[in-house]
Amino acid sequence: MPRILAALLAGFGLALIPLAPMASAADEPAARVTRIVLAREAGRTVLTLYPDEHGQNRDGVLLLPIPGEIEASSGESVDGAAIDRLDVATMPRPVAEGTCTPPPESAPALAPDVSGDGRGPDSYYDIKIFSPADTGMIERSLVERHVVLSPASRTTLAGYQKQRMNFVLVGRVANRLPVRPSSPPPALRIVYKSKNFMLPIRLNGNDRPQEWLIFALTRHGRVEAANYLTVKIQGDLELSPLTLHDFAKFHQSLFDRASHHGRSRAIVLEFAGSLSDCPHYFSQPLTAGTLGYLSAAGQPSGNGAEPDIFVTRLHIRYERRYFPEDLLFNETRDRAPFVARYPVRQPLGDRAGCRGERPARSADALEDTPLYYELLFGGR
Amino acid sequence: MESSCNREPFIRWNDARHFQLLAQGVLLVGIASRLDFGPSPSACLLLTAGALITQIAGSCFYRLPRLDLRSALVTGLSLTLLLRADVWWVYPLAGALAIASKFVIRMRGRHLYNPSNFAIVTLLLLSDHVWISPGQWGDSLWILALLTLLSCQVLQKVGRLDIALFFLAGHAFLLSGRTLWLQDPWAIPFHQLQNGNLLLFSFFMITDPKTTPAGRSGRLLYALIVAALSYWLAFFEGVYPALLYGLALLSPTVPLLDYWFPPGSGFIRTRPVLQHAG
Repeated sequence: MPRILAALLAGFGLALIPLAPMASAADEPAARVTRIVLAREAGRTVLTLYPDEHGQNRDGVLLLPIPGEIEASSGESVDGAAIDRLDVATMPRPVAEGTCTPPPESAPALAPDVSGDGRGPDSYYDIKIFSPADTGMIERSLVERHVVLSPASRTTLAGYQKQRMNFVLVGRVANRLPVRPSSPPPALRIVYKSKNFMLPIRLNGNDRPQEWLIFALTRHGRVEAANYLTVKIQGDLELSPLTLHDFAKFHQSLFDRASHHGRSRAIVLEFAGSLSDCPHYFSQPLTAGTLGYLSAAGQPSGNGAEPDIFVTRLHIRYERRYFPEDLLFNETRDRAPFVARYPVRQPLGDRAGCRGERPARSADALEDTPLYYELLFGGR
Repeated sequence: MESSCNREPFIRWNDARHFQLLAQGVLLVGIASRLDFGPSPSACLLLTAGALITQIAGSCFYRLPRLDLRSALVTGLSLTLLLRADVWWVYPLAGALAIASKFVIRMRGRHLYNPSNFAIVTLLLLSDHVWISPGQWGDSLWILALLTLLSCQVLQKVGRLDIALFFLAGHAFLLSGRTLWLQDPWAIPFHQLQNGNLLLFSFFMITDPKTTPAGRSGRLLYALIVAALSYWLAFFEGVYPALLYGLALLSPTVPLLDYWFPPGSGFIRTRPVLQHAG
């Protein structure tokens, strides 16, 4: 009997194997990066995003399933400069060898509840919140915004409706977005009672890859995916000045190599750390105030001290065939810092490096690897 | 009085635990070599040391007729594969908790909880220093886990493959039902089934002969109830890791199932199972 059962089980398991998606050389590069800040505390999630980065159609309409009760404070606008600062401060970057990144300095104050040019969110975004009872109105609202759901999107929406989720529909108010580069549109804050998170529904059924940056702000430690593999980007390479000229391509190659994990794809960790443990890991002035502004706390704690927030930067190239299930994030207690900094090899001069830092591997060590040739000859 | 700690020969090659140890060793090497956030060698040493020392102490304290370290070793390696912590002292504590539960929490001559399951759930509830990483398995490691654990079960011949199969079938049935209800793509339940932690749970935890019903009917019922409770915890209550909590909550019901469905009774005939899992 056990042998028969084992054979059945083996058949069952092996039957699953071919269903794993095959890697394809025709993987399309993502068009642009979409950024989301996820702050979690006590079963509550604060989601901050640029709606304009998410709109997958001409009218920039975004439909976000929310797996918990939406709090009244949702819909506030957030100074988009805070997301930009967080992005720049945690991105993989080249550094001049022998120099240390200076600790954060003071930065201009962030506007508490308005956008960069002083206008409120209603000036930019048309926001509608649907409770589980009135999700039947979603399609009509989409039609009013000239969005026609694809069959696949309609099925996805129906699935979320059966799970009795709330929805946030964000549209762009015509001709109101600022045209001056110095005044970016505000980001939007959504607060809800759940630890889970859903990606926006692809309204037009577009299956092209999307590039996501998720910044998790937590109290305890690093955040990882609970239902997908999380890996680190290689962060200990020394750059030659030649490579420095095309650092974006270098970074993309490293990301591709890290995220391709057999026949599946992994989520790539690009930064982990907190201002209290490793302030010099942040590249730009990033203050505890900025993190508090973006986090669930929002305000300093009762004793006036800023909360100690741990930042995790996760990079995902999202494709439905590799990430069929909604992302589930797990907050660990791991506070070990990680930063992807690449010292640039100097032909002359001081190469002492920062005290206490591990010496980087030379990019020369990669001479025989495809990556090296990709960097040199643009093979990708 | 002669000490009871050194009477029996340690090595008996046809013991199922040897196959379990071999399977765990293969998985441990696979994880440690492939993952960025896998277990460290020091964690493995501390966990197994905590388990072994507690096993020796418990065997001597309760004057057991023989000292057998293999179960403790299996438990230590199971914990190494599953548990993560940010402070070193949690590891020996976890090993000690797991083995101590075998000596202390007993009913009708059997321990009530699977040792690894008890230690993980207790620490998740009481400590702020531990977590588990269910997403740590990529495709290649999942296939390695499937083949290794399956080989282990086939080779050991006896054991409780039936309960693993009952549980996996129940789990797959519920996931498929959810997929049909939501009209989700089938890639979702297949992805959910391709998880190394699920395999470890199915082959090393719920198959523990000492903490599962003795009769096959009872085992079938138990496996299906664990699958249903875990499903409810995960999808309706948002509790993770649902499988571990589900098993811990239902372990105390095993004596009842043994009473209602003793071996040889019920709707499925049973056969004796002698070996012990960690």
